[in-house]
Amino acid sequence: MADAVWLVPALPLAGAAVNLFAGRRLGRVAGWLASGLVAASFVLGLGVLRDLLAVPAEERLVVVRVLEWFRAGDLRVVADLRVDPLSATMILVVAGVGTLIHVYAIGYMAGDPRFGRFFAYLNLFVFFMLTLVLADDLVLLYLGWEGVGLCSYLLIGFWHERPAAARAAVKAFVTTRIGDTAMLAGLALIFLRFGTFDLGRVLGGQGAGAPASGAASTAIALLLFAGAVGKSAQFPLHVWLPDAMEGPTPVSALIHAATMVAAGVYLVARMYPVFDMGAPVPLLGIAFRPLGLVALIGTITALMASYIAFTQNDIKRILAFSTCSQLGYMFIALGCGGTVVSEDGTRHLLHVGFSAALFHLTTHAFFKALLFLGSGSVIHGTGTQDIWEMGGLRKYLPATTLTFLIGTLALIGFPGLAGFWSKDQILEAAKEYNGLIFLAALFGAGMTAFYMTRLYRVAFCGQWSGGPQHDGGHGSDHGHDHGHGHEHVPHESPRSMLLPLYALTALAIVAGFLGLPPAIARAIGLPEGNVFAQWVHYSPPQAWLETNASGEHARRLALPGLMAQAPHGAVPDHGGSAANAPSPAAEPAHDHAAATATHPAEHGSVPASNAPSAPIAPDHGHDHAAATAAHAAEHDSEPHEPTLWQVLELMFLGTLAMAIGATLAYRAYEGRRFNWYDGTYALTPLESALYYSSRNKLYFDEIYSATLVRGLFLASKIARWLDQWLIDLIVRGTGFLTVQIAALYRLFDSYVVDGLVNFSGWICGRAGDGLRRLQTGQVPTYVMVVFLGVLAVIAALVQGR
Amino acid sequence: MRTPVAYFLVLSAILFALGTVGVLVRRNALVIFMAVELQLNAVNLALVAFSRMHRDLVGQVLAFFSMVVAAAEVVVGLAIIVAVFRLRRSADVDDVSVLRG
Repeated sequence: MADAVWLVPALPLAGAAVNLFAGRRLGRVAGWLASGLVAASFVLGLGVLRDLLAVPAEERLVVVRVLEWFRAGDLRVVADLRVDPLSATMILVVAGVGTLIHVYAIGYMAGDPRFGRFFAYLNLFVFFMLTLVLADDLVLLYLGWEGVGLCSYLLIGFWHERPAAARAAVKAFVTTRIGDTAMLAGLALIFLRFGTFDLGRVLGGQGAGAPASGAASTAIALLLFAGAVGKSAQFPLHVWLPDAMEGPTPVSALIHAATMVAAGVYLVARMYPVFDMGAPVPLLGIAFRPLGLVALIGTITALMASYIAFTQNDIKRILAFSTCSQLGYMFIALGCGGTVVSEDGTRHLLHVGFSAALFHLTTHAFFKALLFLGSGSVIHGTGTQDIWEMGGLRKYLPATTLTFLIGTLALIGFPGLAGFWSKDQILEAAKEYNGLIFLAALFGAGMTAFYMTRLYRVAFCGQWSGGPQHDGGHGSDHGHDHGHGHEHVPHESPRSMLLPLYALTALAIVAGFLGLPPAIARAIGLPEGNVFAQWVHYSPPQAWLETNASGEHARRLALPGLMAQAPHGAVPDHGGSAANAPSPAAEPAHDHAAATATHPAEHGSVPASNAPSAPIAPDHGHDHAAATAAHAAEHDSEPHEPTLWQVLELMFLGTLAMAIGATLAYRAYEGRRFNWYDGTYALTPLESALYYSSRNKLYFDEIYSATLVRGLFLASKIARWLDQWLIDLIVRGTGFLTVQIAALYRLFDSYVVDGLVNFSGWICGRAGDGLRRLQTGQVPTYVMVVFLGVLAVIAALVQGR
Repeated sequence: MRTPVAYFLVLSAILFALGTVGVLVRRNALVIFMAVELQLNAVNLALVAFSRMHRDLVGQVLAFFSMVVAAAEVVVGLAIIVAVFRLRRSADVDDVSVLRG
């Protein structure tokens, strides 16, 4: 199976090539071809899954050598594929959801003049996405990363005849590029630090090289995270995602909900050891570990996007902000994983966060794709995107309504559905890490329930409001005319669009049981719970886990031979057995002097940046000087599972938040009492501020255009002024000087050089004039000269005698 | 009884001097030509005289060549003189100064 892994990305690439060149001639077949190839990739992905499941958990890593890409000096870039649980999960999500969305798009895009081209782009996207998740080389990963960005651009701007779509495409591309630039710098830093782009060596796996730690790791992690922030539409680079909804709805579902935006989460998960081992960053008086920053950004985004979603009226934009917010949740989970230093200075692993993030990524891909496809079905049936122009859809679109309702319930965490289990895990991770983040996540869950219930209530309940009310207004966001825009009664979508909805609905219901909490699983008699976490989890190197924040880990990583030479007499509180044991595991390293003498230089930054005098992070809560390494050795690395009671308590809190949010929204929009604010009644200043800040998306676009965009224009104006006055001055000055020097040189040339030339000519003329007179033309004269000459010769001969 | 070679040489010198003076002082091209011939034959006489003195034929052969070359030269020279005469109705060398510098 492993030999065929290269086919997983190659099949969609072939589909893209065929559809790009022959799509116009293939007609409707183009869609089926594209769907079939992605489905084939999915089947291959299932094969990969089976192969990985067949081996023990520790051996679930295969690096498939495909080809060497290029070589430049010391740099060798290979197109190798890394098959492990993480990439296998991503293959299944991308190809699985991708297949369903491809099938859906056959119905949705029917009749579009660029039908074939659409599927070519879609296939190309799947190719790049699979390359991204399978890459074993960071350059290859970056190729996939930029490739999905390109496809995102192409597909957002697919209806480029509409200025809004073209603008949104450019905005998405440029905004993510800001993050990508930072990410590129991070990759360069990785190369500087490790001298390779090979993931295996960078992550320190397979015994090759020491794991990264310290300040270098922090810098790499933060730069890579900037890339993830751009790609996953996190604060402050989230502004492109709502605008990206200008693209066709299948694109929104595939790229901007299920897969590409999750690439940021994947990147952080893939580079998790680097994030985990970075030194803390002081910020706002708190020393954040890199993962803490990830959690912070995730929290901000999750709450902010939910807040904005409260008052949006475009069905796809609500879902877009919801995607932002859910991606924020994934980053919260990632940030609440990894290792932390506890009060006694030992390091222990937070078990839940890492797998919770990927679990939520998976379930979110299912139910958010379902919601987007459902919204596409609604748009298809009603010809509008404004939820206030819908209403009562459950009468007209029963199948869509049912699936949309299940998607909504899954998203808001209705007990039993997929989102419930994954959100529960995130809450558990947050609770384990930080109380504030836990409360924010809980509050965010309530907000999610509120805006989704509002969406469902307004669009699907009540009475049909008659469709698009003004042609030039909101309804035109729909963009492409299905020929239904003027019908007054919405209609159900064709079967090719409904079948993927059913499939995703099924997934949105059952996927959550992969992450059943172990306590509950035991309570209902299942052998094991949370199979997902057993499948995908983060296990840091044991050496890292045994370090504490005081830097003793250096001794543990050193060679036993060196350890034996350490001055054991300096360890008073240990018995002779410890002093005589050369084994690193049994070596309780208390002697700081010896530690500094033996530890490699690159670890020196860890104790330096963890200086106790610095402000302390919540996870670095206590004086590290008091730490004892003995605790690290004795630390129990087994997950300490929450009891059934704790699990139920957490579920109760999550459900309560959801129920409050949903009830509030359902009551508030009952009978459509709250329409969008039409100025008919006065708002208090507080209400007004809240309402308009949410309506206007917290003014991010305005702030950015007032500061960054205007700043750029100002900078370019200054640059233009400098160019015109300074650079041109230099250029003109140089030109002027050249002309002046040339004038001088001209004088020299015409008087000195030409004078010499003329003078020699004149000399020749004079000489010729004089000699001319010798030639008389008189033969006797010549004869006389000859005669005299002969006489002279004779005389000379006679004289010489 | 053999005539001493000096006699021939003296005669040859007298003839050569006469020829030289003729070349230098006369104006008529034909006469100058005849004087040149006189010089040539004076030299031929000296060559033959030396040949006789050395009792070999080298001098005579050289004289013979000289005569052949002189005949050719006369042909060319006379042709030039005739051409000049036809052009100018005169054979006076002083009149022919077209090549004056």
